[in-house]
Amino acid sequence: MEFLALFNNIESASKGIEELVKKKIPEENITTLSSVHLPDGVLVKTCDKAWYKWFSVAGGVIGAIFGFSLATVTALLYPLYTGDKAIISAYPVGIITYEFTMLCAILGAFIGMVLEISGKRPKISLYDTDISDGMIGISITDISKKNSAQIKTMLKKSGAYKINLEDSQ
Amino acid sequence: MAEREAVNKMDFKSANTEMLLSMKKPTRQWYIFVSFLGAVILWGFIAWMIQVFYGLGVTGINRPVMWGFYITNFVFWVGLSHSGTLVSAILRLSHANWRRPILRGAEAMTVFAILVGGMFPILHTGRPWKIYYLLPIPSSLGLWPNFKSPLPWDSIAITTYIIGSCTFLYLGMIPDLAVVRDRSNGFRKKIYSILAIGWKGSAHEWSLYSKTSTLMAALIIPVAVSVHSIVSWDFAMTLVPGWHSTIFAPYFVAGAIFSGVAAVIILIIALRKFFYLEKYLTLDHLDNMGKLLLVIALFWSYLYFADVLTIWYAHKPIEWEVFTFTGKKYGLLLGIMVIGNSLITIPSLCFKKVRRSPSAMLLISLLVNLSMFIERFLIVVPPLSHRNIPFVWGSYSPSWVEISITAAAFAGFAMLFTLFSKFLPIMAMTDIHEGTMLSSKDKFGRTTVNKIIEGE
Repeated sequence: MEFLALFNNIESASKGIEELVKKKIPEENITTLSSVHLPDGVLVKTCDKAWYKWFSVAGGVIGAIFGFSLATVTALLYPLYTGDKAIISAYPVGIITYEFTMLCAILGAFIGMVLEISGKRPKISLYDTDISDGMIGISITDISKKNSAQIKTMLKKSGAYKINLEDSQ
Repeated sequence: MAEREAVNKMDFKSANTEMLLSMKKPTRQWYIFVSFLGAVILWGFIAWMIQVFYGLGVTGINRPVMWGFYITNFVFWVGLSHSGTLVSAILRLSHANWRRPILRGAEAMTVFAILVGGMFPILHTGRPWKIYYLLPIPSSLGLWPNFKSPLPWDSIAITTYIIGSCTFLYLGMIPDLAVVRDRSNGFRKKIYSILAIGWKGSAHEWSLYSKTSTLMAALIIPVAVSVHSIVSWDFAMTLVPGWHSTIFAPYFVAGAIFSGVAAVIILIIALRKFFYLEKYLTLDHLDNMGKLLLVIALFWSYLYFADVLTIWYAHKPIEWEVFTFTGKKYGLLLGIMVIGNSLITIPSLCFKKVRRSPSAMLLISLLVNLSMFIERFLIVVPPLSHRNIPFVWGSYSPSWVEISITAAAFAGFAMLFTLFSKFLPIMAMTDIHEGTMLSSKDKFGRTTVNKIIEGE
């Protein structure tokens, strides 16, 4: 079973989470849905290590190899003597390599973030459009049926003004 | 307590409604404005078609001045594009809380300005249908780009900046697109759902989003600096007197940020006026941007003085010739540039009253941008007019075709912005709410002060 409880403010939402934790609901089954970024730990902790950065690093390395190859191989295939400079000159090769490195690192960071968000997204099926208007949602997944009534009362007591639930079983 | 909560809920909702006002059904005035812009763009398109049909002869470009208004426009627009992403990224990294309402507009400005700017070298080629010759693909003629020329550096840098700025803009918009999605129906909802990539606002999503925004900001700053440095090297790598200077890269970057900050100020004033956003884009924002403009005006003036002093002291005959020719032939333009960029701007911006006056700030910012356009023109044209060989000295003035295309570029920029504000959120709503949430008033001694909670 899955719950989505909506709260008007951070204080009541944090009270709700504390009650859930006291009730021995595993913290990994609890997450918040909000329309603003709440610093880590304000309601829940998301200290898991992000791997999307490696996409950025990999992108940068691929970009560097591509840029370097493009500048050097082109120069070798079509050797042009320009102003007494070597066919493969360090500065132009450096500039081309740098630009491609940055381009691919930026794209890598973005693609990595999208992939990581989709891959690690908690399996939440409930959502409420009130969240985009400032309400704070507390989503609890994998709740057994026998606990559900008790949790619902507890969340209401903490200040939840609306509770949606979905029975996936 | 319950009453206060209800007020908070209403505040958040009504704030979103206010910030999304630009996305409401278009009014008659909106259609008239868009039609006017469309007419100017059409006129520019006709002018360009005439150039395509008759060739570059219809422009003022001729020996020895082979770079005219198109390249002036290119440098100007690339410069204008700078401030958006650069200011946004720097303010994001430095946790400047006041940045939030200006982020989106500034980032969008970057994308549109670079798109408009990137169009000019293509127009300048004269035969844009042969543009693929510049690509590093083995053509039937066996031609390859020469990477020792700064021009391929430029095209690669501009492409990187366009893609990077678009990504930066889109990344910042994802949570706001989810807000728009939640308020839309039917076909629009489908489109915004795709654009919001399934954003729900979970703690995990926010954590990753925040880290990526910071990383992206750190990556885009060196790209922005490199782009205008490379644009300056298009000039500085040549042996043309007046161009071959080591100061050109920082001078161009400073000039770019200068015109860009002024453009952001114009944008803030326009958004305040047309979308009734005075509550979010406050006089404090104008004040802060005014201070930024003042600092950059001082820096630009310092670099200009250093450049001119070196030329004047060395008195190298050919460089001095270019310098005096600029003074004689384009004295009026030179005067406007110096007055507009330094002599009026610097003293005026020292006064808080001026910085907090939208009309004064609008005038100053328009003057700065006019002066910066002139500055770009004076960089491009006079050095080419009087190069090393006196018997090919000449002059240049733009033709109606170039002026029409320039007008169309300004109209195109305004059109892109108008359409953007109609279909996408022009204000970084979630960022603004975050700022409001993280700051609060606190009693301090006998007064109340703003308290800011530092996020990650």
